Amino acid sequence: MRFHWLLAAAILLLGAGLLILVVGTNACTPSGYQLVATWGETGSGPGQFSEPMGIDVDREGFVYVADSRNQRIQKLDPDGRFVMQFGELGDEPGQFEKPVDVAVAPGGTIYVSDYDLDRVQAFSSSGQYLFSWGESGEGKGQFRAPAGLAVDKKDHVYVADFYNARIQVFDSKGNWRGTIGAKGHGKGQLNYPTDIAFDGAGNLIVADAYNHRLQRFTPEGKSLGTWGFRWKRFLGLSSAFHVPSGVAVDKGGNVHVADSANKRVSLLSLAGNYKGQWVLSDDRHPNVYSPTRVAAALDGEILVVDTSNNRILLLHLGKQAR
Amino acid sequence: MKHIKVICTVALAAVVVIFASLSTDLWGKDIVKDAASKKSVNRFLIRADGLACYFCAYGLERYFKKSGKIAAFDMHMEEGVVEATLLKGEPILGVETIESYIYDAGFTFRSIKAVLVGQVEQRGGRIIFRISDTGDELTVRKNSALEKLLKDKGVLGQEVQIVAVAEKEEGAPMALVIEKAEPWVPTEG
Repeated sequence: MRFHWLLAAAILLLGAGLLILVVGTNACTPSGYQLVATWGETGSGPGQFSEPMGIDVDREGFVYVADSRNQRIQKLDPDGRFVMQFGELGDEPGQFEKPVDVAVAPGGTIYVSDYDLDRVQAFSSSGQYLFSWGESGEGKGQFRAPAGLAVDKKDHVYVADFYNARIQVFDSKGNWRGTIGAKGHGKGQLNYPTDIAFDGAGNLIVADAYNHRLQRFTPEGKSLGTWGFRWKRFLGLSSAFHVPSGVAVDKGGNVHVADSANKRVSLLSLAGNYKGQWVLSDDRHPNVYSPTRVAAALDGEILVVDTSNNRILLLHLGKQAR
Repeated sequence: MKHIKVICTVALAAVVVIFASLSTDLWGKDIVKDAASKKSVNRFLIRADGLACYFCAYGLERYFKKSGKIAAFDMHMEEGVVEATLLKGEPILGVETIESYIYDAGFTFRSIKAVLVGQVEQRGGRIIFRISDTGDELTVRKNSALEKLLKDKGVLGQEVQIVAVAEKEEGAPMALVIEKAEPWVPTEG
């Protein structure tokens, strides 16, 4: 009889513990973000978008958007006003089929990945075509849908090679330097990677989208571990991801994640601890995975690419989150 | 010895050329130029799991484009459907080919509906749909919609637009299960 009481108490305690874990993680964390502005609308005119997919911010705070269905890159000022654009439909130098990401090097060179043409093109800061590299395939320097781009402090260009399930590393001229990751679900492996960011120490944070996690690597390609697990989403934990397709690190060391299928931006500490979220508002396409990408602006605000609603959202990071 | 060197060099060059042409077939085919102006009236509505994600849907679009047989590719992501419009005069894509694109792009295939313009013809005990644009002939499987269509004898032999479920058929691109048929009225342009 006494044993039964002990067993019942143990089950109750276990249940209560689980409840606190689930509810506590979901409800007691600060939201962290506040929406302060919305840029753009559907269209092909200046400042309008048709499936914006990629974003980056240069040293002066100008914002570059890979406006994929309009086959162009748009440059906006820090307040979201149109400055210039370059690119048009085609497969000649300087033209695009499906520009899905843009990255600006410290020296001002603008790199654009083309998902359909399997190449990366380099442009001057004024949008003049410089050179390109890549072709279709699975070998070194070849791509199968280059999805995400990032440039490190040494001007190395990192490319998330979506269907080849790897990150390829190039020097600033497009010469192949190495490969990080291989297809799979284990540590050091990737499953349809879509984006890359760097932390303050120069390590990569990869949006390992269809492993439903972020994975950190040293610049040499050694895995430093993962954040988020696929199974967590079934428990409803806020720290779980569902197709995290974009990642950015701000100057304060916060990690921002475009958790696309969960329709939100998640905020993590540099140690990977969940700090808050912002759920997409005024969403006209609830069945489509968006937002897809994020970028950190110079003033600490966060730019969110809401592809399905053809807009860029500006989020302010609250003091609590900072 | 000199001859052996020459033969080896030629053989090596041949191998390089063969591999280069193979890789072009697999990946390097040009996306059709001015495809929009070459759109036929025939199209497929393809349903697959996972079309809610842009990177994935773009992947499917990429595989279809590289086939060189698609004039336009429209995504209706909210409904989980993509619409692939064929090029004028291009032989119809088979169900197995479409399934392979879907599989290669990382999706789970669900269904294909074909929207085609042509004529429903009776030949002996068989019903055939002949596509006007290409002359492709497809077997039509019997169902209530077809029976209704056949009863309306004015439709037989006339040009109609059909909406049909595309099913696998041995030795042919597909067989059709007609859901709807209406007289075809060509539009300008």
